Amino acid sequence: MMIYPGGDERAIRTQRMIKDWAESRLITPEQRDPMIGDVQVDYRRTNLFLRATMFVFGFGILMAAVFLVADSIRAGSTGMSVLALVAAGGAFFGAQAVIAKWRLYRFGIEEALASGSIVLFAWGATMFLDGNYSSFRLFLGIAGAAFIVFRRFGFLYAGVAAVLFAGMTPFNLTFTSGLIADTPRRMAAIIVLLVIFGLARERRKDFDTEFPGDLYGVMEATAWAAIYVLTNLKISAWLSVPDDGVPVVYWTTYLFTWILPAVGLRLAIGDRHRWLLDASIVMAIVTVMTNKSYLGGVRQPWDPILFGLMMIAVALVLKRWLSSGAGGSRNGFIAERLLASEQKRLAIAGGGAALGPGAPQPHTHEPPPAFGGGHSGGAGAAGKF
Amino acid sequence: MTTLERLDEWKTAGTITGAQHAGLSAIVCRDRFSLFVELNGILYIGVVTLVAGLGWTFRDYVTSLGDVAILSMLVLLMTVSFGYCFAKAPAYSNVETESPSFAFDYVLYFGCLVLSATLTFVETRFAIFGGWDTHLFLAAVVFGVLAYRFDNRFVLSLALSTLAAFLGLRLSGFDTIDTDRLRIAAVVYGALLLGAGASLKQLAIKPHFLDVYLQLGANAMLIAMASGVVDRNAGWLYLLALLMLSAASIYLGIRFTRFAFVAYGTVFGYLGLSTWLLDAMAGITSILAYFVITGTIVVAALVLIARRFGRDE
Repeated sequence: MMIYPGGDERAIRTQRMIKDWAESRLITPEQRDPMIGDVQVDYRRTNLFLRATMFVFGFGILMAAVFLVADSIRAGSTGMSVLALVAAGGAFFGAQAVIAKWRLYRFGIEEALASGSIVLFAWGATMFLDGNYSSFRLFLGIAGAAFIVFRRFGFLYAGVAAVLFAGMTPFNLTFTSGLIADTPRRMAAIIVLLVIFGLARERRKDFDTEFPGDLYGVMEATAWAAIYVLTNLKISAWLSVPDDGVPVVYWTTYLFTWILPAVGLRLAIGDRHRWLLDASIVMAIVTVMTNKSYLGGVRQPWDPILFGLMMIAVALVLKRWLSSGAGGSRNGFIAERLLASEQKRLAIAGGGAALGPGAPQPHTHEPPPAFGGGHSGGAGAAGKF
Repeated sequence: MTTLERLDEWKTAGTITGAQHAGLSAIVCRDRFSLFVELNGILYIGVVTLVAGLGWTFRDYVTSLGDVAILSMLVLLMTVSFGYCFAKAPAYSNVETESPSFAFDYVLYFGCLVLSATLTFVETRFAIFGGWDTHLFLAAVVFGVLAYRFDNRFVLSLALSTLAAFLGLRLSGFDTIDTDRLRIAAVVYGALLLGAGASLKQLAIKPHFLDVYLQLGANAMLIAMASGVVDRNAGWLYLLALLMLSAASIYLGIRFTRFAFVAYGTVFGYLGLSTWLLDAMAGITSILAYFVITGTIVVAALVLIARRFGRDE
C-alpha cells in the first residue's frame, strides 16, 4: 500500500496539469488560481534542484553512517551483511517516519533514505549467511527491494530499477553450456520481462491516464524496451556473448528486431501511450541503424547521409500528413504543440544533446487553437528555446 | 477524484467555459494527442546524422572528389540553408519571436554545422588561418550573430561553447593541463558571459537568453576554481576564491529564486572545502565521521532554505 493516499497523488498531478494549461494559455491566470486552490494538498515540497542536492547529501550521509558503524564494530563480511540488512530496514522505516512527521513529498531526504534502503538491502542480501558474493542475490535483492520501495512510496525510478534488475536476473544463472549457452538466459530474461510487461499493462489499463496508471505505463514501456535490447544481438553483446554463430538464433532475433518496434507502435498508437510510443520509435531507429551489420554488410560513408535524409523525410511527410487532416488532425493525432510542457521536454532533450554534437533548440510554432472561445484564447504559449 | 471529474465540477461551478471543458477533457483523455516532440526528435536525428555522413564522405573521398567539388557542395548547402532562413524569418526584434515553420530551426542548425564543416575543411586542406584559433573565433562570431538574428537559444549555446574552445577551455583540459593560465582564462570567460548576459538583459536585447549566459558563466568559473583546489600544486587562493564564488552563487540564487545556482554553490563549495580538510585527516573513521557531520549540516541548511525560499514544484 502506498504511503501517499491516491487522492493526494491525483491532486498533485492535477496541480501540474493546471499549471501546464495556464502556461499554455488554455486557461487564464484568473481561472488557474481557484482551480489550484481546489486541489491543494498538505505536503512539504521543494524545487528540483534543492531536492536533487538533498538527495545526494542524504544518500551520502546514510552510506557514511553505515560504514562508520561497520568500522567501529570491526564487522567482517557476514557481520557487514547483517548490518546492511538492519540498516536497510532502518532506512526504509526512517523514510516513512520523516514523511509521517514532516509530511515530505519528493523533498529529497525521504527519497535518499528509501533509495539507500534498496542499496543496503541488496548489499546485505549479496553476502548474507555465507559471506560470499552472489551476483544472483544482488540482482534479485535490488529488484525486490526496489519494487517494495516503488509500491510503498511510488518512486518511479525505483519501479524502473525493479523492472530492469528483475529482467537481468537470469543472466546470473547458467542453464546450458556449449554452443547454445547464452540463448536460454536471454529467453528466460525475455519471459520475465514479458510477464512484467503484461502485468504493468493490465495495471495501467485499470487506471488509464490517472495515477497510478502513469507509473505503470512507464514500467510497461521499460519492460518492452528491455525486451528489445535483449533481442537485438548487435546492441546487447556487452551484456553477455550472444550465440550468434547459430543461424536459427541469429535470424530469429533479426526478425524480432523488426517485429517488436512494429508491435510496440501498434499498441502505443491504439492506446495513445506516450512512453511506449517513444520507446518504439527509438527501437525502430535502432533497428534501421543495426540492419546493415545484422545482414553482414559493409558500412559506407554515405550510410548516415541516406539515414539522415530518411529521418528528415519521415518527419516532414508525417507532419504534412497530420496537418492536412480535418482540423489539422488525423484521428486525434496532431503535429502541433498542445502544451507548454512539450516544449520543456524538447528543451531538456536539446540541453542533453548540447553535450554531444549539438542540437537545434527550435523555436516554438504558434500552436493552432486547441479549442476556440472561452477565456483561453486557445493558443500562443510564448515559451521557446 | 479524477481529473475529468474535477473538470466537470469546474464547468458546473462556472470556473471554466464549456469550450474549455471540451478542449481540456480531450487533452486529458488523449483524444487530442500531439506528436510535436517526437517529430522534432526525428528531425534532429536526421540533421545530425546527415551532417556526420557528409563529413565522413568528404573525408574519405577527398582525393577522388577534389577540393573544388567538395567546397562547392559545402558552400551550396550553406547558401541554401542560410538563404532559406533569411528569406523566411520575420524581421529582427529584441523580444522573443516565433519560428516561421516547423523545419526552420533545423535548417538553421544544419547551416551552422555545415559552416563548421566548411571551416574545418578549409583549415585542414589549405591551412589559410594558420591554426584553429581563427576558425573557432570566426565560427563563434557567426553563430552568435545568427543566434540573435533568428532568436535561437541553442545556436547561442553553440556560439558560447565555441568561444570557450577558442579560449582553450575544455573540461578535459583541466585534467591534462596543469596550468593557472587556463583557469584564469576560464574565470575571465565566465565573468565575460555573466557581464554580457546581465548587460544585454539590462538593455532588453533578447532578455530571455539570460539563463544561457548565467549557466555557462557560473559553471565555467566554479569548475576552474574547483580544479585549482583539487590540484595539490595550486595555491590556497583557489579555495578562497571558490568559497567566495560558491557563497555568491548561493546568495544570488536565493535572491533571484534560481535554485540551480544554490545547488551549484553548495556542491562546489562543499567539494572544495572537503578536499582541503580531508587532506588533514588521518584514518577512515574520522573521514566517515566528517561526512556524516558536515553532510548533516548541509542538509539542515538546505532544509531551512527549502522551507523559507524554495518553491513547491
